[in-house]
Amino acid sequence: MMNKYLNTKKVLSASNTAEYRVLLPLLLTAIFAIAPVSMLFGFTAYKADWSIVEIFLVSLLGFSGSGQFAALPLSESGASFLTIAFVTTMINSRYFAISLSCSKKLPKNKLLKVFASHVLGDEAYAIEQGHNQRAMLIIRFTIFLSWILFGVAGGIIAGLFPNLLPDDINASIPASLVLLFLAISYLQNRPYKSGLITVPKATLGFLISGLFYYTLGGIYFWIPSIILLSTISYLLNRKY
Amino acid sequence: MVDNFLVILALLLTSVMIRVLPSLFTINFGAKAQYLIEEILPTSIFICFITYIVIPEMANGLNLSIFSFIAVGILAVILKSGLILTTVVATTLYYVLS
Repeated sequence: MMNKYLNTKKVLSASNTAEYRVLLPLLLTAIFAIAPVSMLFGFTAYKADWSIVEIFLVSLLGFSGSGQFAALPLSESGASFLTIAFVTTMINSRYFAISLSCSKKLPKNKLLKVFASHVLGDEAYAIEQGHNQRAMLIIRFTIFLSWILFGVAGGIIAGLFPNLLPDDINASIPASLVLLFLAISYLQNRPYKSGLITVPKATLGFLISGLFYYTLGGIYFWIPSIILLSTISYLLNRKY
Repeated sequence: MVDNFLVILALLLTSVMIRVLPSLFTINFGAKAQYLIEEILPTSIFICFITYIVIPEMANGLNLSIFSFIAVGILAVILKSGLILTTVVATTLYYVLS
């Protein structure tokens, strides 16, 4: 019951300013990290004959990072609507678990809830841990709008300078490093303090998910890994 | 135009299925299920995030860029650095070494 009212109280509290002071550098770093990825998407899409309006629409309605990148070659190869939907669902299947895990924190207003769910991303999820509902919405929508903005900017740049980028550029690395930092920070803080995670348990988790990654690949390893890790973790913690 | 519009619709459908629909299932969770969803599930997800980021890099062969991942670990766990410093140091290290 307390959780029901916790967010409202936090939003109205005097410590809000201090909290947003903490939030700003996190958001700026996240934007710095996703901007090259988003611009690369816009750049690549434009070179694959997508118009600026289409780049805007796909970032707005189909916001999904890796799913967007995967959809480009599928579209070029003439894949059907269902094939594209299936592949992108598999690639982003982790969001099912992620969305489920933070559904309680979402606003009660149905429309806002739907929008807030649609704009959920990896970086936003990692940053919003431990923050209240209002901060969560700010984080999600800021990253979402930045993604659209930089995607469109990437498309415009591709129109102006089509040969600007080398083919083998790894623009996603800042975003990966940010996510890695946030994941490590989460694991060493909240669950560790509650006895949920320890070094041996984390190692076991990496071994299991690594095994699934090697056997099933980067697209299909998510759901079985999350289910098995959660089951093991639940069974190990039951006695506590 | 029509083809690209169908791609956009396919991605929208994906978002609805994997993000919007699960968020609407919020009622009638018992205490155990709530603990599983709010505590255990995020921990599993973050472990998978780390695997998802590190393994592909290792699968490409152990090159010097792996030091940027190690740098993130050291800066986050031992030195307790902030996000900005860690990202700047590790990103610079990655592009210098790779």
